[in-house]
Order: sequence, then C-alpha cells, then structure tokens
Amino acid sequence: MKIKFLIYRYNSAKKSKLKYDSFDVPYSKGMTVLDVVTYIYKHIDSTLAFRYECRQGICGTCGVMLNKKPVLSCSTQIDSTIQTQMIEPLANFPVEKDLIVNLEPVLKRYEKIKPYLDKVHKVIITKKKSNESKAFRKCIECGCCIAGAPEITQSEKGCMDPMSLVKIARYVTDPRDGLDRKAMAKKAGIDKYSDELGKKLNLVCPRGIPIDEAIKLLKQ
Amino acid sequence: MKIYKIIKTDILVIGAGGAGIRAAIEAKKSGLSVFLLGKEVLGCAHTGMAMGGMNAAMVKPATPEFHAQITIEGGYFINNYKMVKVFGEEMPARIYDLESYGVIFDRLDSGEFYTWAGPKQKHPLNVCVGDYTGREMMQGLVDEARKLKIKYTDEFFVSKLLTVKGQVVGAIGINIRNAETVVFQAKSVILASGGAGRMYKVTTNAMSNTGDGYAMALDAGAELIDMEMVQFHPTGMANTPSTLGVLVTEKTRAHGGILRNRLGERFMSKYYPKEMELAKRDEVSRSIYTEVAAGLGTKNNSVYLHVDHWTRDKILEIIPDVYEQYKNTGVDISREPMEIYPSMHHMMGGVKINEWGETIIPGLYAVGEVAGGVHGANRLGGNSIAEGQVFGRRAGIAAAKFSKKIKYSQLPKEEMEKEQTRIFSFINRKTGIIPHKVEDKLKQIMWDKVGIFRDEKKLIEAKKAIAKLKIESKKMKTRTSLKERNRDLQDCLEIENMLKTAESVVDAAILRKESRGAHSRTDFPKALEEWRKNIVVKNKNGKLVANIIDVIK
Repeated sequence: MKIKFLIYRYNSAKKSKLKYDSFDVPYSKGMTVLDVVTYIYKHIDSTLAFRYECRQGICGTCGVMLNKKPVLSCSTQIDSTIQTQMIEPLANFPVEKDLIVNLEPVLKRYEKIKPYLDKVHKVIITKKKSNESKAFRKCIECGCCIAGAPEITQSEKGCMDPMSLVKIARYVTDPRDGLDRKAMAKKAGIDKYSDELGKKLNLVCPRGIPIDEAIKLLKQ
Repeated sequence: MKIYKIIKTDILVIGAGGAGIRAAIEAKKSGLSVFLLGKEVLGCAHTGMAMGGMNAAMVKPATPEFHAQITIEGGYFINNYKMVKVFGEEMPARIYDLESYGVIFDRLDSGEFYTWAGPKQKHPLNVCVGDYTGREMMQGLVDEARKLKIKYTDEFFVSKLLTVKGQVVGAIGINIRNAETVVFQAKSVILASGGAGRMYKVTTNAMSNTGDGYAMALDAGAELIDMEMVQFHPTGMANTPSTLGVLVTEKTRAHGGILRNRLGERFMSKYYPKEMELAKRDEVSRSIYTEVAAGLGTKNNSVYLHVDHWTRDKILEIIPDVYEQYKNTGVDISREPMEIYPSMHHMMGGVKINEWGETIIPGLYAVGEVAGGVHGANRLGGNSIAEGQVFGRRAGIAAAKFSKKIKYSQLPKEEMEKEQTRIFSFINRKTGIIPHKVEDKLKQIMWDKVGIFRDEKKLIEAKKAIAKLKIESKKMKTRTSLKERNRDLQDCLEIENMLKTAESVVDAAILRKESRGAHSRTDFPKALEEWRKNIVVKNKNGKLVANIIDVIK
C-alpha cells in the first residue's frame, strides 16, 4: 500500500516560489513521519531538507506539521487510514528550506526573558521543591508549542511565545532564581494566554508539559 | 573557490555536547575569546540522549576512591589510572557546577541526592533527573552558555584541523545551511566531537556521531587509544524498524527490570547467577546475543525486558521516557514486556590524552567521547556524561593557559585550498556513487564482523571490505549540486570519517589477541595477563600504524 504525501517545498536563499510536491511512499506498519521523509530523501528526492538527530523524541530538532498539527517526526507514527497526508515545516516560524525552519527570531525573543538561572540564592532543594519545577524542566525547545499557538504568535505581536512562558515558569518554580519572573511574565503578556489556550497547548507538547498550569502560576 | 571567511578566536571548541560546552564555559572564564561550533542545533547534541544518570560520589558511603576503583575494575584494568583518579575526585564538584547552571538532580525528602546503583556499585553513585538526565544536563549547559554569551555557530561541519609544523592553528569546514567555507584561526583547539555510532547498523547514537574527531585527529598526527573497545548497550529497542537500537536505560534493570527469553526463562541465571540483570554491560550483551543465537529470541530476534510487574506509578516516576518511547510504538510497558537487543552505544577508545585533555599535538585538546583512556575496556553506566564534565573543564583551563602564552600562527594556505577542493569534489565530479550506498555497506560490515563477538577471520574480512569501500568512497557524488542543505555533501564527508574510524577499530581489534571487556574474541576467549596493555593507533604517511604500550599509572 502506498500513501500520498504532499510536502512543503521552499528555499529562502533562492526566494523560490512555495510549492507542494507529491510523493507516493510505501507504507509499512509502525512507520513514523521521520521514516517518510527519510524514504523520500533516500529514494526519490535528495534535495529534500529536514532536521533530525536522536530518533528518541528527546533532542527536539525534528518538529514538523503533520496534517496541520505540530509533532516530533521521530515519535509520531503514520495513520494508514488517511490516503493523502501533508507534511509542512513548523508553523509560526520563518522557513529556511522545505521542512527546516529558521530558529533565529524565536531565540532572539527567548533572550529577552533571560532563559537561565540568575541572581542565584543558595537554597537546600528537597524532593518537594525539586518537584515544583520538574514538569517545566522537561522542555526540549522543540518549538511545537509555538507552532500550535497562532492566536499568540500571529495576533499578539510582542507577546512572549509559549516556549518562553514555560521557561519563565521553570525559573519561577526554582527557589534559587532571584529575578522577579512574575513581573517579567506580566510585562511579556501573560494575560493574553487564556485557560483554553493552555489546555490546547498541553495536548500539543510532546513532553507532556502542563502549559495550562504554567499559565495559572504566572498569572497569580 | 578559494574564497573563505576567516574568523579569529583564541580558543576554538569543536563539538557542542556536554564536554564541549563545559570546556567552552571554563575557557570563557579566562577572559580569552572562545568560539563554539556544533554540528546540530545548539542543545540537540547526543549528550542529551543519555538517560539513566551520571556517577559521582555524592552520598556516603560512596567515596571518590570507590568511584575510581570500580571504574578501573569495570574497565578491566587498562584504564589510564591518572585520569581515573582525578575523575573520581572531581566529579562531586562538577555536579555542583551543573546545579549552578540550573540543573536540579532528583532529591530525597531530606534534600539529599537521590542515587541508584548501576553494575558494580555496591554503593550507589548514579545521580539522575528521571530517565532524561542528559537532556536536563544539556539544557543547563546551554542556559549557562547563553548567560555567558559564548559565541557559537551551530549546524556547522568542521572537516579538517589545520596544522603548521606539527602545531594546531585552527580548523576549516562548511556551514551546513549553505556550504559556505569558513576557516577558524585559533591558538588552541578543543576537540569534543563525540563518538561514531553511525558506522554500525544498530546504534543508540544520534545521527551526528560519525567519528569526525577520530578521523581529523589521525590526519593531524594525534594518537588514538583503545579503539578496539566498542560498547554494546544490552538494551536497545527492537520492536519496530524505526526505533531500532534506541536506548532503554540501565536504570530499568537497576530498579528491578527482568530479562526473559522467548520461553519466559530468566536467562541471566545461566550466565551470571550472582549479578543477574545487573552484570556489566559487556556481560549482559553477550548473554542476550547467545540466547538469540541459540534460537531462544522472539520473532524480532530480541529478548524481553519486563517492568509489567511494576506499578504504573513506579514506571512513570523511574522511567517516564522509556514508557513514552514504547507508547509511541504502540506498546504499553505497564502491561506487556519490551523487546530489546544490544545496540552499539559507546566508543571507549579515542584520542589519547592526559589528565588535562592534552594530546601529543601542541594546542590540540580532546574531551568527551572522542577522547579515550578513562574507561579502559568497558565503560560503566553513568561514567560517560560524567567524565566529559571533568575533562571538559580541565581542557578549558589548559587550553586557556596555553593560548595566553602564544601568538596566532600563519594559516597554511595550501592545506586550506586542498581541503576546500576535497569538500567540493563530491559536488563537482560528473558521475559517481550515491553516498548512502557506501554507508549502508559499512554499517553492515561493522555489525556483522566487528560486533559483540569477533574472530580473526571476520576481522580480516572486515579489513579487506573497508579497504575496498575506502576506494569506492573516493567516487562518491552528491545527487544535487545545490549549496543549501546538501545532505548528500555532509554524508560524503561523514562517510569518509566513519571509514577512517572503522579502519582504526578493526586494526586494533586484530592486534588484541585475547578477550577483555567489550572486545570478545571467540578465537582467544580468555583475558591474558600480558595483555594488560593499551593499543595506540597513529597515521604514518597515510598508513595506520598500531603499537602496544604500557598502561598509564
């Protein structure tokens, strides 16, 4: 059985016209999105650009849109009941080439929230204290949440993206960090995040981070 | 051609995994200029795939001496004793460094570190963050690098170290985004480019691990040590082709995971009745291999690893990522067993260094998996991402000290032009072989003939086959001449590096006529006292020369 994949093709260096190429790929049970793009690169079109590293769902470099939903391509299996499927680069990022996005604008925004432990207090960390930040420490900066939040990244210019939000939550729950992270979150537009958006983003995050809780916490 | 950008930096760090970033952080403190290069997006290096934990004597009765002692026993007594000593001593301080970068290791209610015991650990040494220790560690290191504003270019491929009169003066390579050639002129270079898992058909490694550092170090005149010592992790995923070889942490067995064969027998009782599932990695890997070879494996040629007798809560607390990895392939490990099989995991060997990361080339340092010596013939779980922190820091200090004393040297123009021609020859030649066809052949050779069990006949066959592939590889040709994201071009360069690395592994493996640690020869099944030695490989006029040296004590 073959499945038809429509793949986003664009080369920013050549300012090429955006197009979708169609590839018929033989389906095998358990096949992942990464298997599909690797198959195309190996056997059909060697110019297809995509990122991957670990196949373990942990490096955070292989995020794409599968049928308009952000996923990690190495950990997402293909639903064989859909005849024609679409693979695109992560939404809400500028595209560099094909399935590869340009991370620079996001990292520039990220810098603004000081994404590191700062003004450090010496504190004894217990299991309880460690657990408060644990869920937020699972972020792998894959960008799936950014791709899943057009209501912020497209409509609320200047507002922090969800990846920054999770990072602030990670440090607000870390007793060693001495910055006023809640004030930072307020300034960065935490009020633009609704509970519904938080719940939606929970489902998007491949690391299962409770983004709704991060929002609640930062609004307190 | 002959156009390249030149960037000057006092210290160049090649490789942005745990050891490389740690080296860059330390070097930056010296006030000198530091430039960090990574082949993948910053933060996505292979270090992040380490799961179970890292060893350090944080909680009594474990002591640094105990850590050193079991590292040497685990390495079958051919480790570099000087390196092991400082490793054990300095690990606790490196754990606190990581915590100052933001990492929070798992705790007990009292605030004491949560530790667990891997093989040989009478006293537990593994500190951890769930079963994604490496990823949190990478995040901490990246956060700190961002805080210190360390200059970096990610997705950059270094293809050659530049030397003048036997001293390293920089490196040349291409930006993966657009194939732009860049030369880095440096007073010292810290090589931290990781391992070579991709030369094996089944591996736990990230795709970036293509032996670039071993090949470049050989070309520059450095020595490689213990290259025959290739670790197979006993438990790689084996239930679907897509995830073949992906790591299942040792933490699983350390917390009561049970291995069974197709018939449901707890087969480790046949091989290591005392240690059972927690025998050393080389021992468990051989046991699984033997079971499957005897026809006692599953239909996927694997064995079972059970945690389905644990509570779901225990699974989600101890090994949440293993749970996810199998869930993504349609297996609920709280209800059914995992299928696993050994997977190429780690190069114990590598660039020969001393306890300051110094190689025999002035100005060249090596740290992390690309370096060898600390692990000997078998690496203990939890020692890999750990040692990179100790020697990364040390190399950062040593490289800064060295760089402060010297001026920039002239760049070797001819060598640079030659290298640029070599890189683009893969695009420019009219016809040729598709690169991944060469790679697939190499992977199969290494898996079949240079694997868990070896013998003279298979190794000689591998040597001949690799020599043939090296000739074939000269004809590799990219299928597109596009400069942007030309994956074939990167493949060509990486395949040449894998071939050189493979060659050094095979040569050393042929020479060691005994079985020790990860090197199991069916034709020489015993460990021999006279082989408490190291094998050193070096490039002499384009030919590999192997020598036997005394263990460094």
